[in-house]
Amino acid sequence: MTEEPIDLGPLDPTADAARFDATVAAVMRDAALELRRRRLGWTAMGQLDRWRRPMLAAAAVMVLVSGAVLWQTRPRSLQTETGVAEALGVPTQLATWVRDDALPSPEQLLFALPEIDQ
Amino acid sequence: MAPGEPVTDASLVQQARHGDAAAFEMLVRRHYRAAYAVALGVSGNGMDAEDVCQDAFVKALRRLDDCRNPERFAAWLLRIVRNRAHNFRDYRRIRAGVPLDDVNVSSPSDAGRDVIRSELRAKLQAAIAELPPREREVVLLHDLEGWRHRAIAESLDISEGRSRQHLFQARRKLRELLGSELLKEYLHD
Repeated sequence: MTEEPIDLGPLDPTADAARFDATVAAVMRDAALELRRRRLGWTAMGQLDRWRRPMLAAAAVMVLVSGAVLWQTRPRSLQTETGVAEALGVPTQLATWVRDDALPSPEQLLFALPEIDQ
Repeated sequence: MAPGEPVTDASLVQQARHGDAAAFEMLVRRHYRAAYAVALGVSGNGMDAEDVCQDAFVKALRRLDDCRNPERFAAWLLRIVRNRAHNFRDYRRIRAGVPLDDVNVSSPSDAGRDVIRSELRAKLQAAIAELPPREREVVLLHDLEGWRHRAIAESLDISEGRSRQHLFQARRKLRELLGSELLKEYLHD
């Protein structure tokens, strides 16, 4: 087998320096947008922007879960009785004493008076 | 890295991933000739090869995060170049509606249009276009880019022996083609 190489130098795209520079410049022009996108992606704002969407999604999930938990653990009977008493115009504090069958002390009455007056 | 030590591809890839234009430009300059050799090997046409290279480098930048072994950037890039060149070649064939071989074999006048200025370049181009794609790639990577058979074999997924065989065949055919061309000119004179 002959091992003498063929001179393919005339096909070398880098041989004409000016022409090669123009070719590289054309590649860099086409790549400019992608390079800019990458630069922005690695700045602090870019990092924040990158995390914005997952953070919003996580926050939405937490709101949903918290809402569901609060809804499940709400004090239903108290809420209903107080709700009825309040609906009838009975002050909340008074409704609580009645429900608990508790006799309020004079001080408690005194503090509750503004609310009862309303 | 010590000062004066050549910048590795891995380091340039890492910088280009962060949008460093200078690092990307260095990668383009470093690997353009190999990319061109592969593109020309597949397309057999200098102008197409330039278009393919330009397109492939930009595509490579967009997909740079997929390059898992940045130290083997060249092999990864050349796969992209080869795929783009094949797609381009198929597109040209479909658009032209002519057999593949007719697309490959460009006359010296075609090859010499705009891009290929010198007569010798045109003759070489035409002769290269006559070779089967695999032989073209091997001879271009070996004799133009200076790759060794091991690297060529790895890049083309063939054995080293096969690479040597392709090179031998390609050189023999090129000598015949270029020789007969020169003979024609001699007879005209």
